[in-house]
Amino acid sequence: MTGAVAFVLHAHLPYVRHPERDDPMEERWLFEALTDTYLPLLFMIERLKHRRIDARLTLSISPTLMAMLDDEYLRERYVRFMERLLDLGDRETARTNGTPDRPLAQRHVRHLRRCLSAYEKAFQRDVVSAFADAAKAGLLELGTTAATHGLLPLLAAEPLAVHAQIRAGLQAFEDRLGFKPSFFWLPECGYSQAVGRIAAAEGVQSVVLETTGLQRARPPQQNPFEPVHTPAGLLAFGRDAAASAQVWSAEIGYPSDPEYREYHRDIGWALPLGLIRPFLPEGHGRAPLGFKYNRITDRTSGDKAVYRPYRAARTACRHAAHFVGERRAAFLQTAQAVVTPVCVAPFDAELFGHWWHEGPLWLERTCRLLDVDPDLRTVTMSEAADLHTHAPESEPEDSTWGAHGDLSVWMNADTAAHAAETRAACRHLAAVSNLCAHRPCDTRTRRALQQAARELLLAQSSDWAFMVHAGRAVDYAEQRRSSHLRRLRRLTAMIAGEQPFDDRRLEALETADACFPNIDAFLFCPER
Amino acid sequence: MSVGGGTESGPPPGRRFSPDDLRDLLSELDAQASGPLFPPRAEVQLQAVSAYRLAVFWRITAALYSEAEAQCNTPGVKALCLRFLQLPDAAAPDETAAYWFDVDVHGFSGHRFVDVAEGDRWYRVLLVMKEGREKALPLVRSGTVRTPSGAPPIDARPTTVPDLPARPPDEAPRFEPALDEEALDRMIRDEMRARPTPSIADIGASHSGSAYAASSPAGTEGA
Repeated sequence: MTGAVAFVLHAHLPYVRHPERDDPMEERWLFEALTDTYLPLLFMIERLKHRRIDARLTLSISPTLMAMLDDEYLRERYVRFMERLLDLGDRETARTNGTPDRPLAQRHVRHLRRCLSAYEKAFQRDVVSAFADAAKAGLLELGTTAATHGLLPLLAAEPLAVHAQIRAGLQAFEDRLGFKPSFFWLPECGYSQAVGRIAAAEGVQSVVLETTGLQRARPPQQNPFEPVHTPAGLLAFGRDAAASAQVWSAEIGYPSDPEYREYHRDIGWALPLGLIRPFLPEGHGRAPLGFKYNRITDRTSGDKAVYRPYRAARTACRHAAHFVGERRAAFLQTAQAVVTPVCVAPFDAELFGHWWHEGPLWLERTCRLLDVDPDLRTVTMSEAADLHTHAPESEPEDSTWGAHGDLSVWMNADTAAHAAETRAACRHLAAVSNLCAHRPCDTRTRRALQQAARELLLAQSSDWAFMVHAGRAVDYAEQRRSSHLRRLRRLTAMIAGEQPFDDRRLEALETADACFPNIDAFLFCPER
Repeated sequence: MSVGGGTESGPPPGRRFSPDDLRDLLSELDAQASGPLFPPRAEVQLQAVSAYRLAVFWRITAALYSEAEAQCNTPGVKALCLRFLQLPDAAAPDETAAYWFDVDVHGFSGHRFVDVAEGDRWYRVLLVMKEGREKALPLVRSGTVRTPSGAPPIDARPTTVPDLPARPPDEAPRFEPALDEEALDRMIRDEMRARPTPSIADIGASHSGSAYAASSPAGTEGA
């Protein structure tokens, strides 16, 4: 073998469960990801298995996403959502009669039916177990990440917060699947020396860092296809910049090909409100509904031609062949330097299918080409680690995969107060937990401590700062972060006796923020 | 392992909330309380945002401020400022700073972003009360942080992305058949037969592009 490609798909969504609202927009993020990405990835895995393709992928599922996929309430809501979309599909098929959009409407309806049928019958609404089954079959390696995707270098001023994020994430995975994850995804590839030390202490073995983290390591790792052992004992792989850009980049990457489906053209934005109002989320204006009939055509022009699925599929196949060829060429340049070069290509899972409609097909074709290639193959992250047990030692540089490779996406003028406030909250909960650790703790207090830990973890999610920075759902992100901190404060006031204990309030919070059922009540206690 | 079943998470069985009840309770819980959410303490938190940017958050309590004022006996202007020290390493004492600079601040808490000229340097920040031009009373200090290296990355391989293979000439829009997986399979099989996978030996060490791209004839797409 000349070289290996390790695809790492990182599946994550913030915890957006809202039982207090009817059809909230944010729950649709999960439903869209299921229909566009998670189910199509399972179909793809099924096809690879059926054709006996020797493909190895790594999938990191965030604990918040896993909690939502397992939630009976959200499962039921997803089915209702799909039934409504199928109703819309019938109307769209009738409306587009005699136009070039009709076969596309019909095609999307077929996809929706297939997703709903597979979700209900084949997977019995249990997508996490479906991924676990794929892992058992050897096509997939499952990993996880920090509990609520907290950006660890920003939390590291309070080491307890980093310990808690990692420990709760690993625990949630093991509680659900019955085994320890063999791979841990650092949220946003965020690394600092302190984070590396804590992660190693929590049992994490290998991680993926931004390219510059290894290029600027001490000493620098000059080979992009070889990991390093950090002094703390982590095996750190660098993301391959060229492979990432070919798939990730909006400007030069494959997904920008004019033949691919245009994500932003959707009937939710285009049709008169009167036609689609019953299908829009509650209290929200227009929103995407999934019926998309145009191809990218020209990124600089508003004129969009009709989407041609067959040609788009062929383009995806062509891009798959190009990707494999480029990896081969890149490996050739380093063939003498590393015994088995590994190209680590990590992506947000939601890129495949949701943002890039043809992404799952591209990935499938790439896996098939790599399977028949005499010199290349796919490997999981564990297999990649096994290939590099004697990697050189080096201390990677602080880095993230955000813009410029630093923290500026999450720490800027709009979000500067967030980090200080969540650190203060962490210290506060640590003090309250410590008090409880030194006195008898009844069931109710323990439950309140558990809920307080959930609220703090949810406030620490990197998603809120990202959404503020990106200008997407800014009010929602701000409100979520501050709500969790206020809820935490109400709980600690009850625990510490500053306010009378209110069971109804505690239960309301347990109902609303219901992730991590087995969370350690003393997760934030420094003495435990 | 709870394969097959979802979690019926939430409070113990017995109480369920209607959406309206839950919404009301959450609104009440989320209402802004007066005063700071968490007990304030005097602190300076320093974070390296990038090789060339530091973020600093400071807070001083009214009690500490009064105490500091009382210690400053010299008549004249008293002002709070953040003193940035560049140090040789994490454990170095303040006195060993290679240089320092002050940034005036106002109020009892706030944050500032400060740009620095060099990456890969150690910094510490003191919140000080300046007394006249000469004296400065240190009140709170931050931890020491290192800015990441801002040096150009060292990489044996250029990370530019090569051009994609040429697109075939566009055709007039037409109705397309539904995606036929089997037909796609056949197409891939045919293409691979026509273009056998080259081995490393065939390509040669001087090859600098894509074997696949190089042998991908433009125009076959529409065939």
